Amino acid sequence: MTLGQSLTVALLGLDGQIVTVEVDIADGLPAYVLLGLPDAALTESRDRVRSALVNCSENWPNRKVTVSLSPAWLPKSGSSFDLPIAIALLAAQQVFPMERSRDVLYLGELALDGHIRGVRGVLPSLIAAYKSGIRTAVVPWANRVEARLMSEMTIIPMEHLGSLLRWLRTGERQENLEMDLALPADESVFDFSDLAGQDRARLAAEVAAVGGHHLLLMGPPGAGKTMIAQRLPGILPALTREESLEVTAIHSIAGGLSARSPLASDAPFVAPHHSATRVAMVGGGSHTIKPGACSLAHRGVLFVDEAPECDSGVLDSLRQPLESGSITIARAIGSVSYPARFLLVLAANPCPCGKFSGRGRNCTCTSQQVRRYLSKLSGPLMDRIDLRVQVEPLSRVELSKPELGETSAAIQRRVISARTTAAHRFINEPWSLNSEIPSRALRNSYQPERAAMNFLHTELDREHITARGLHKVMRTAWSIADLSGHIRPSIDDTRLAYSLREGHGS
Amino acid sequence: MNILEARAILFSSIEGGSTFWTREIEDHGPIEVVRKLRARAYDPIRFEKIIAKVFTTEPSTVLAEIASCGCQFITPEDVQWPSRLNDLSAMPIGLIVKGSIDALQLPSLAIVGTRNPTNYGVRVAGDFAAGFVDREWAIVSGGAYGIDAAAHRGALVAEGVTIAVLAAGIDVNYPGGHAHLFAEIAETGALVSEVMPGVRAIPARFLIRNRLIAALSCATLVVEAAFRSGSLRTARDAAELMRPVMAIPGPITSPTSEGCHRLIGERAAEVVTSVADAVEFVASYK
Repeated sequence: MTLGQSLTVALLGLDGQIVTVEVDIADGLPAYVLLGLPDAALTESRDRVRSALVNCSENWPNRKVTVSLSPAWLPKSGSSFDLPIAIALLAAQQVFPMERSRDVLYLGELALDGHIRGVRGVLPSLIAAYKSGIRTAVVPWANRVEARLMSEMTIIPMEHLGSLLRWLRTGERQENLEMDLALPADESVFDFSDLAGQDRARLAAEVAAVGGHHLLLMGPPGAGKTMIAQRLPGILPALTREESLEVTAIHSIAGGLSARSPLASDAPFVAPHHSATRVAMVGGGSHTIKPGACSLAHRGVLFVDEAPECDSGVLDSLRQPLESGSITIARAIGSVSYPARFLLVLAANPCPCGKFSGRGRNCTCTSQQVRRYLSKLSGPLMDRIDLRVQVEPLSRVELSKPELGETSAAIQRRVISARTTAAHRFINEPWSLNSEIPSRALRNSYQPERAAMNFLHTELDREHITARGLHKVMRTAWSIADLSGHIRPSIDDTRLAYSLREGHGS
Repeated sequence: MNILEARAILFSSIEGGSTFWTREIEDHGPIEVVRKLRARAYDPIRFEKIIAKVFTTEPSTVLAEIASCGCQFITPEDVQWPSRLNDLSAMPIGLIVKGSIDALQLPSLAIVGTRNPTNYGVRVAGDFAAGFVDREWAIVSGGAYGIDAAAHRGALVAEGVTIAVLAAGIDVNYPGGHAHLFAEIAETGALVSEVMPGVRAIPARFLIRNRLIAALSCATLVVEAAFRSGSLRTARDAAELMRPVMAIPGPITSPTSEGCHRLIGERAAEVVTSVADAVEFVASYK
């Protein structure tokens, strides 16, 4: 009896499970059996592994080969099992000594000539392996930078099956140059200095960044809504190391990491097209549950342009992540949760034809059409929007001003300073952003000044806002107070917060 | 057949807003007009539908249908008929009223405007409604989304009387979202309709209905209106009736104020910027 073994990881969402690949070669008619609930890509692995082995001048056994992927109840998918299956098969044929291969994790897809191809989800797989006590991993060359983020593990990037076998037999391998993980200062393409005028929108973006308040930009096409949204991640604080790993793990599964600098250090910006489906927005899929736009925007900005053109079911699906900060997708194969805590920016035209602004004489929409269009944004989704801004086209005077607008760096400094003030205030609380203050805490411990509360209560009595709206204005007032350096929100801070929520005035 | 029965037949057969039929009824009286219709004395092709309806309509059925909705049918012969309506060249044949008929006699301000107002318009409409209600006036409007609803609500909040002139049958509740509002209005004020119960709202009926709003009230105020808003029609109707017409200005960058600015620019409406202004203007208007 010859039994070979190797270790790898199966991912369900961000969570990985250690999988033991066992290969048994027995007497009998040549056959190949793969057990352990493989998906289509995995089932095809047999031919890839066979070609790779043969082309590396290794033997493909002409007997009965049984490959078992354990645990047997867990469905397995993807092509990253090619390499561990090949290694287990070779181990069963005792082609190399076992010492180096014990307790080593293998990940990689095999090309027909024996090259080891990159796969998705390397970082989360390594995190799972580390948690199970594994300290050494063989990964594809293409994933080496991502893998090296797990600095606590010994990472062995391999380009070809042949070189891997040489290492297993002799311990020799090409010494790699130390990877310098210090990334080049990210030259951000988008800066607020590109934007002329639009003072109110800039203010709203800054307040949104300080407190994590969701934002709606309304205005005719070409006024600058997209420009503002694109520049919002640039004024958010850079990601902490932990947030970086989180974001990198999610993007790794989605396959969106760049080979050069995979560690995401800036807040992500995700802008799904308004024709995106529900699955594209929140994640899903039939065999593998992939993260959707909401999760890709985790710790960053999700920009939904032309929001009234979106399917209302898709807009509705945003409610779960906005409420809880994560998405849970249940399928037959299991239930997966991805984090999804993002800053939502919605943009909308004033009407379907876009021309209902200024004097509105060119607008061809009936009032019914305008009403139906804008009502797509009503209800529970709009309730979560704290800031509403009209973005109007620039006047000639504003466009011709020679001075650049304030830079993103300058705005970001203020945002970081305000966020630090808030963090100090909430040092004993389980939340850290103003938008997260629960209503009860707002009433008990975090009330604005007396005059400000009187103003708000008057508006409440006049039925100009609801109680929920009142709380939202209070949270925004705190962000404005943090920016102004006030200990508590003043009446002016509160009036500004109120007018930003209502969306009128300038 | 008596006058009331004749009017019932004509009311259910003829669409409102026709100067021809108004003149016929004025010249010959309703009973005679019914008789002439049944004698085919009118153009059979042009009035084919009306003639067919007149033949098959039983006045008792019409009156019973109206009564079963909890409404009353009033005609120009009634003491309670609002005399301001008589200024119309296309006076209604009759009116179905749910609620207080006396409310129609009160001095009233019509507040009209766009169905898609900004928060500014909603607030101003509500404030003016409340302001005039405080001065014992009633508020007349069309029961539509937007400015109309804001005006009705403003009046109700100030515990005043408001009248909604509907474009559909009195039991149809158009728009559907205002079913509750209409019920509230009918408690202290009135719902008015110029069509039979069950009749649906169609675009043409809105314009016909607007003249009633203009005529029933002593003055008309346009709060916010887009360039092509139907409420501009109501303002013109009011002007034609020699009633005071007022408009609220707004930012020139706001398309919902463009219609008001048009009225003001064409001197078709007076600019008012406060309830006091409006009261003074109406009082001094001759």
